[in-house]
Parts: sequence; structure tokens; C-alpha cells
Amino acid sequence: MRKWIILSVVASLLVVAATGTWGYSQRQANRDLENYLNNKYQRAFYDMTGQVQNLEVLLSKSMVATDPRLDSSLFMDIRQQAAFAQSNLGQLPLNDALAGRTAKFLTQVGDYAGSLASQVNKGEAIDSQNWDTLNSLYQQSMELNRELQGMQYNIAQNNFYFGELVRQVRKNLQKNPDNLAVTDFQALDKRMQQYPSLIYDGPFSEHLERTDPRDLSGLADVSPDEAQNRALSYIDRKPGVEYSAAVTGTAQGRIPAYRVEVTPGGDSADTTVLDISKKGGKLIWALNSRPVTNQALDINAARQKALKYLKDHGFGDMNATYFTLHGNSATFNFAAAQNNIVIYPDLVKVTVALDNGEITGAETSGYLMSHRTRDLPRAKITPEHARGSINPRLQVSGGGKLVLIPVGVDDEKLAYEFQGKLGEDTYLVYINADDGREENVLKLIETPGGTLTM
Amino acid sequence: MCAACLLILFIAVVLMQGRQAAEAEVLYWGSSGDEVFQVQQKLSQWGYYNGPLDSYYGYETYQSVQNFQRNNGLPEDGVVGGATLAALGLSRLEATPAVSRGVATDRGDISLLARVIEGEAADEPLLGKVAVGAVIMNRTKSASFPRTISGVIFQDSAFESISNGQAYRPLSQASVEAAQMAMGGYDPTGGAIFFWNPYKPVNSWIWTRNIITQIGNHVFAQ
Repeated sequence: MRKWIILSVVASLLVVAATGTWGYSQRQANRDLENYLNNKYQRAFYDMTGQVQNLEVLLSKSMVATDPRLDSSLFMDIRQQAAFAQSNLGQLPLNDALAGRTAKFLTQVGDYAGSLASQVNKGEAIDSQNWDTLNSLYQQSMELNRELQGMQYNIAQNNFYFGELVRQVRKNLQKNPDNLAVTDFQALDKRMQQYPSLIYDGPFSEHLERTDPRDLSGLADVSPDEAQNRALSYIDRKPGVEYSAAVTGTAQGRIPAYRVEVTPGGDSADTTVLDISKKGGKLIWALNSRPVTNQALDINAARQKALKYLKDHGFGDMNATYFTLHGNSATFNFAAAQNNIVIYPDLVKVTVALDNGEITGAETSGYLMSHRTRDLPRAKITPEHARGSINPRLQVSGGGKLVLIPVGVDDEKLAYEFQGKLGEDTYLVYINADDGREENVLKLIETPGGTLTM
Repeated sequence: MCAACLLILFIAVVLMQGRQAAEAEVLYWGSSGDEVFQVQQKLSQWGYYNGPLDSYYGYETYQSVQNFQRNNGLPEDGVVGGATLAALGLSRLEATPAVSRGVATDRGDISLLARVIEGEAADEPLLGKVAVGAVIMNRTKSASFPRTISGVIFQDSAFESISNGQAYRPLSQASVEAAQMAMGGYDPTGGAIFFWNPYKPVNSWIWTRNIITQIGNHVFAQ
């Protein structure tokens, strides 16, 4: 009897000791990890503070420099510092509610500097409007700097600054934060909000994003009933099957739309969902979610199906540029053409199921946003002349076709397109057909399942 | 005595769970990694495999390899070696090339995107999955977010499934496909950069955004 008591006491002691050791090592590991993370956060924060200081100095310098070469290098530096600062901001445990505005400011500074650098490189001077924008960016960067310096002090005072921040952000800010760290960042973000948005030509300025779909301009609004009929007309219908369409909602995106669901013969597994634009009743996208089991069709047959679909739905002259295989479906990209010139901004995608060749998806928003009959300029230089502007190291294998390419948010340029090789890599080079400048160089990246067909 | 024995035995069992080494050239039951992913992808495209594309050579992969070998006159050993690889059209297993690639996207990005889709929208129909992928793609184009897919996905507390590890579940074919479509430009959300489940408690701040539409169980907003 006594033996059993001793044994069970020994056993429980062992259990207690083991649990204790385990718990202690867990706690230790936990603390090490928290310290490690805290250090990472601190590094990111201090780096960001340094980069914002650099930004302030560089912006002020750019306001006084006059030599184009100096200007150009200053703008490139600003762009780089802004990108670093933004990447460090992204490492901090902040969500979009806390840091969105600050991130946007940094993006705008970087983009604006980038667009000024290319302006200077083209030999155009910095005008007074540019100077005013630079000045306002400079003022904002000073403000940001001041706030960051204040926070730096708080961080130096409190070792658990970022730990507390993480806990508060994880709680999703459901109640009003009473915590120093969160209120700090909230104040900072509010400060960035007080300034009016900038107007400039950078690639990411949201307010310059086109809001008016050109292909729909002047068209009348359609009723929900009409939208249902239009939706039915965009479905690749099987003969002898009864299709039913119903408007199930609306979408208030870039292009306001009715959401329509079309079901063949009551088979809800084969439902296609479509967005039909309120204005003009055109297809924005359609997607059928049925599983596609096995491949029976080859790519060429599928491409013919996609082309026929576009033709049947009034898309005029379209060129296939690219396709990707996913599962047992293929998605083809098409660009519009006008007078044999490929219009790259006007893009349409069509998905074909490779089991029976049915069109299971389409996406036309790029086309709707930008398509119109354009006043195309005449090429001022010959393809031979344009070819002379290409880097001689590139082995040009083909091309010389006239194409229209998008430049920035809203600009388009007529260019000659050349394909060339350097070593194993393939490049596409676009030479401006007006002045022979190189507008863009694209590198082709081979991905499994993706093939360029131009 | 026995209690102590049990405890020691228990610790020993825990310690013995070592790692399984992944084999590079020959794949068999228990193998894992990118090569298995490629084999699973091929088999699934050709209709032999219906399981998840989880890069793990398990029972389902084994069975589908055997079926494939039977149909192609190969020895039915369920091991993917040189002959089976050749029959699969994977004469040499492609390692992911490590080249610099600007803003281009590669398969690494597709599987990353597919992970978040799996984590956030596993129970949604294909349309709901594509929509979640499209939000991530739209964020890379927005000034308020990082410009790369990995930057957007690993931004702190951006996605619940990344914060709590839900996204590291085995990938389904539907999520991979949705990721490819979102990357190819399908955007059923009309330019949304936020989404949330309206039936779950969320930060009240998010309801101040402009709601565009609802797809499945998610609300999408700008």
C-alpha cells in the first residue's frame, strides 16, 4: 500500500516537473520571438524615419536645382527613397485604416518624381506648376517628418510599443483605442488626410483613372428586363435547351451594372453569372462555374470558337495576342484592330471549355473603357528608320508592324513593334512612329500554360 | 512506475517524429514538393487525379499514378521514375527558375494567390474565388497598397487566413484555377480593393467604404 502511495507521488512529481519545464521553455521561446519581432519592427520604423528625412531634404533641393542633369538624379533619388520608405511602412504592424493615407502619400511622391525625371530626360523644363506641386509635397513631407520624430520618442520610451500595437490592431479596433501606439498612427494618418489630393500625371493617381467608359458613351440606359434579354444573347446556348434569366442584384463598380444569372433547363450547377452594363446593356463579364472534366478540343479549334463568339457579338476586327491554359479551359486575349493597326488598350478575354468548346467566360471591361474609332496619326518615320533605333545587340527576328500602345493612364502612342532576342531571352521593343524614340521594352516571360501568339 | 513509463514513452514518441526527406528524382508515396505539384497538375489536367494539388504524394496521387501507368503500358508500381515522367511529358522536372523579373508574375505568385483564395474563400463558388483573387490584383495597382502580390498578401493583418495560418491548407484545383483567372484579368468585383463577410463581426471602419457588390458570402468595396 505504502509502495503505491510513494509511486504515485513520484509519478505526479515527474508530471509536474515535466509540465513546468515545458511551460518555462515555451514562455522563453515566446519572449524570444516577441523580442525578435519587436526588433524587426523597430528597424523598419527607424529605416522609414531616415528615408522620410531624406525625402524632405531631396525635395527641398529639387526646388532650387536648375541643371537638368542634377534634377534628373535628384528625382530618381526621391523615387527610390519613397519606394524604400513605403516598403518599410508595409513591414510595420499597421492595417490600411491606420496607414493607408501615408502609404498613398509615399506612392504619390515616388510616382510624381518618376514622371518629372522622364520629363527632364526628354529635355522639357520644370514649369511653375510642377514647382508648386513639388512645394506642396515638400510641405507634406515636413509634416510627416515631424510626426515621425514624435513617435520615435514614444518608441524609445516604451519597449513594448510595437507589441501593444500588434495586439490593438489584431483586435480590429472594435472599440476606440486608448493605446498610445495606435492613436499615434491614427493621428499621423489623419494628418496626411488633411491635405488635398494631388493632381499629376503619374501612373497611379487614382483620381485620374478614367471613370467614363468610352464605348458606352451616348448609349441609353436599359431596363432590368432588357438586361435579362441581353444576358441571354451573350450566353453560348445549346440548341433545344430552355434558358431562364433573372436579375439578382446590381454592381456599383467602375461600370454600373445589373447582375444577371442565366440557368439552362433548371440545372443550377450550370449557371452563368453576368454583369450587364446599365448604360447600353453590354456585357462586362460572364463566368460559368461548371467543372470542366477532360480535354477533347485542341487550342486552334478553341481559338476559332472564341473568335466566332466575338464576331457574333459585334466586336468587329479582333487579333488574338495571348492565351493561358488553366485546368481544362483556355483563356484567349484579343486586342481590337483598326486599319490593320493593333489597338492594345482595347482588350477582351474569352474563356473556352476544352471539353465541348462552350464559351464559359468573357471579360470586356478594358474594351468598354477605352474602345472608340480613333483618329490615328500617320507614321512619320519608316519601319527601317525605326529599326535603326533598336539596340544593335538585340537580334531583331521580326516585327515592324504598326500598333497603338497605352502610355501612362490616358495617353496612347503609335509605335512600331519589334521582336528580338538577346541570348536566350525574347524582348518586344516599341519605337515611337512619330519621333523614333524607344517608348517601351517588354521582356517575354515564359510561364507554364501561357503562350504568346502574335 | 507505470505512469512514469508512459510519460517517457510519450516523450520518446514525440521526439521520434522526424522529418521525411524529400527525394528529388524519383517520386513515391510520401514524397512532397514542387515536383509532386507538377505531376499532380498533369494528372489532374488529364483527368486521372481529382484530389487537391497539395504537393504531397499521398494515397490519391498513388492511385492515379497507377491508373496512368496501366493506361500507358508502364509497370504499375505507383512510383514516378524516368519512364513515367517521360510519359507525363515531364522529361526533366522543371525547377522554378530564379531570374529577376520586374513586375512580371510567375507560378510562385499564382500559388501564393491561390493560397489566400483557399484560405479566404474555400467554400465559395468559382466566381467568389476569382473575386477574392481580383481584389488582391486590384490592390497591387492601388496607390495605398504595396505593388507586388507578395507585398499585398503579407501586409500585416491584411488577410485573416494568413495571420491565423488557415491559408496553409492543401490547395484545391478550383483555387489554383481562380488564381490564374484573376491574374489573367478577370475582375467580377468592378475594381474592389476590400472584401469582408457581412455576417461576421468586422471593424466598423470598413463599412464606411463604398460597397460595389456582393458575391457569395462576401461584400466587395472600393
